[in-house]
Amino acid sequence: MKTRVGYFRNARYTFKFIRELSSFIIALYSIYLLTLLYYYHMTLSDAILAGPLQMVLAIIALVFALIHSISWLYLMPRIVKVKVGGKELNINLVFGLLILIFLIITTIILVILI
Amino acid sequence: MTEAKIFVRRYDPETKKSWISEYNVPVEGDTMVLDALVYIKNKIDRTLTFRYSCRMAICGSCGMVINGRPMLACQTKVAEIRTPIVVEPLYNFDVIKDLVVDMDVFMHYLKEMKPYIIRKEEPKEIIVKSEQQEPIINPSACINCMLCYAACPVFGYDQTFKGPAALSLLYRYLMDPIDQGREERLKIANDKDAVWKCSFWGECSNACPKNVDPAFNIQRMKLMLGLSSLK
Amino acid sequence: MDKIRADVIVIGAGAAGLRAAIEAASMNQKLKIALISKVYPMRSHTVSAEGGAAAVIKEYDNLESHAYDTVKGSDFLADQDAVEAFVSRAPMELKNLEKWGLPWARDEQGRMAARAFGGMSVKRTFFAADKTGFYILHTLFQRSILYENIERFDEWFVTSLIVENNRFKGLTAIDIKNGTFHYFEGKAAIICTGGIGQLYKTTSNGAINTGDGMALAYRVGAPLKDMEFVQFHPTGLPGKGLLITEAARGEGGYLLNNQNERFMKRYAPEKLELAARDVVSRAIFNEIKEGRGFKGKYGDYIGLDIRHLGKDVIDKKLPTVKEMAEKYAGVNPYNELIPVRPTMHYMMGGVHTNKEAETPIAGLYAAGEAACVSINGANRLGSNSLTECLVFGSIAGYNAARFALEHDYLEVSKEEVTREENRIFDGLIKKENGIPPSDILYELKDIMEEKVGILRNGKDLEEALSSIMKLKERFKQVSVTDKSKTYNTDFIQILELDFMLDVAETITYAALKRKESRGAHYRVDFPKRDDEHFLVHQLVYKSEYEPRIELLPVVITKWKPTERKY
Repeated sequence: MKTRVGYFRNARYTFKFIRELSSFIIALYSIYLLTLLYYYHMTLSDAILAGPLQMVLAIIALVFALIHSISWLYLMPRIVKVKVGGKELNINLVFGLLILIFLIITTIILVILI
Repeated sequence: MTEAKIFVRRYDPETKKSWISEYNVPVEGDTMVLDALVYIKNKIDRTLTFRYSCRMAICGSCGMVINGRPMLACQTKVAEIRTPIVVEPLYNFDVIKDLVVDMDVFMHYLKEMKPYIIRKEEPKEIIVKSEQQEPIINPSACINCMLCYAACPVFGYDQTFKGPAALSLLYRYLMDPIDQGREERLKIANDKDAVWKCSFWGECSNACPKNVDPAFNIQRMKLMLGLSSLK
Repeated sequence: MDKIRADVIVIGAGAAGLRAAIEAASMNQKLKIALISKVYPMRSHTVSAEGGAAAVIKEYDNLESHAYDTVKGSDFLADQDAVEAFVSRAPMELKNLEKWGLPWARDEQGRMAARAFGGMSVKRTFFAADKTGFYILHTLFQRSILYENIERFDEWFVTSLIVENNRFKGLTAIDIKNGTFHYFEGKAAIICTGGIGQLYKTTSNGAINTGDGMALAYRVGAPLKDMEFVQFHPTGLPGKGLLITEAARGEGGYLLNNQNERFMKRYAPEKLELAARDVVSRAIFNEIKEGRGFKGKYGDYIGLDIRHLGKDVIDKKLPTVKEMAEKYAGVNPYNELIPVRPTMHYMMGGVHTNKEAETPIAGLYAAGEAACVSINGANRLGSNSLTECLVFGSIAGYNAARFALEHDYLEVSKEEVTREENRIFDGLIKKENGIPPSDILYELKDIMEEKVGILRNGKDLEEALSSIMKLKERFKQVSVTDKSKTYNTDFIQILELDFMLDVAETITYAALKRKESRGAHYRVDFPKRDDEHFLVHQLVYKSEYEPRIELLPVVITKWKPTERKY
């Protein structure tokens, strides 16, 4: 007899599975986006980028990108312990700092783009 | 003195049947799940089978799944967890009987890790500073209790994966200040069933009762392998 | 029924067993070593040792001082030639482990760091945090994997030794995983089965410490020596018996009574908390008896104070103490006292061996807690036992290997094996509707705790002896409830209980016959040490009705017995 631990053992495992899955979805979306850009380059027609389907797909990709990046920031300090002057920093503090840096960089990029 | 209800998943290898037994055990504030199981064995049901010895979380015998989480029964207080308590054998291992699992697979992987100092010649005198010792303190605290294997979904799907504890011990010897087997050990780490199979769920470090961090140790070895391939 | 052959058979895979197996295996690669253990090697009880291992390594130390401390600690019952051999080999053994990768704590120069320990006149106890036993066991076990000629039999239980004309020739064992019965033919065997803690109700020992090896040897005619000396460790957690290491006091911890007084100054004005263990245990017992203990659920207790050591020292040097205090006693050692009471800890006695680890049976050796050389005499000093396992483990391994090279196998006959098979399977497994072993076990623990404990007297010991005899009678009605062949712990526990009853009898009998107080053996009716009559070892032999005792004089080389003061 053997009970195997699967990817959906409990909520935490399921969440981590979705996290793993999210990288695939983002990868697929990137390929899709590149194709779109290629056709846009060929035709220079705005409709290729601005259709309702493209909007929906972009939002789904954004959600998964957020899940993946925020959970990465959440997990990282749990595995790589950050030490300052020989003392381990509190993991929640490190997580908070990482989120702050994440927000600042996002804002800078948005400001430059807009 | 109160009473706690405990459900235990049983398995009889001779009839290949599995069932749930229900027991009521008197408990106090400091009764551990192990104490409750010993009480059952001695006063209620002589056939209940489990391993245990030291009672102080260092021998690693009493790893089992308690309320869905791999834990050491000797350091889990009945009063601090949800009741009724559900006790199962460690996941991902073949069950021999009741709560006893077959850990020969680990013993085999442990041997493959060459868990001993490799040196060309015997050192005459060993001078090692505390700082040099620092990296091996964490991985050498492993008590081989197998909780990390029961928590690892990769090992759950693919039992050729060497697993957290074995790889963590590989890292321990890789980082040892007096060891000279670096090349050999990196080759073991680079095996197709070793560090690259880990997809970094971090559940091993989460389950470890001794705060060993196999997830970190394995990622470090990936990094070392990556850097050494650049040279 | 399978026959397995091995040149050297090691029973028990703790520190002594693993060290012996490694020594024998590395002496000659042609030798086949069988390492039999009833648990996986890393579960052996060596793993629980905390404080450290003693040896003369530091430049400020000398062999003579270590030897004298040991002899004085033993209340002059240790054989001094054995102690001298022990201390002179100890440094090499610890350095060996360093070469094998054991992460000993380091000093500023990068050499092994030492800490103070009870009864040791200088700092000579080497440690790895407060998990020294754990590191020693895992280092040895992982090292043993290197030797291809060691074959392990994990989770095998030895049921009897086979001896002919005072020469060892084989043994019988059960593979616990599938319940099959096997026999071994061997040229030599080493008993390294550890202690007897399970005889007592409150003990620091694990569930596997049931004195199997002592009973195995006793049953084939080897004498047990110094069995009356049972060590009670001063600082165990009340009720559970789990150990708070002596290192807590070695690092500077105090013992306080309910008047907030360091009471040890009245019992051992010079060494205070770091007097020999028997002295501290009796002092605590006395404080509690006179009403100066704190009230607790499991009886009164004394407070162990490590608050003044500070967070850094506790976290770095005593992490296990902190973990134990928090998890098992529910106190925070940074700002609370840890409740402690004496707990049964160690067996000074064991299978009689000389300093070459040889028992009186040719080809049979013993080492570690299961053996009695004797270097521990009437009281073992803390941190000598890990070293003892290493020193006498390697001596036993070497000598057994040499014996195996010089001798041939002796054939084990079918009848000898069948007789044992019938005793176990027909005699025990087939019996129906008997009493469960746990009833007898609990009664035995109570008797030993109450009547063969820290303070003993003739009347109690006699009562205990007759109760144990009655339990032995009742044991005949015990039956196995679990009839399965696979991993039958019910059955194994009955075999263990059978061994425990024999060992309990020898302890009580020897304690009754020693009409004096020495070291850990304290007779209320004979409170003085009596060197005129009792500066001897008592060898207990099995005979038909009650054990037979022979006396063996203590070997004295340099140090004449004096009064022991701390």
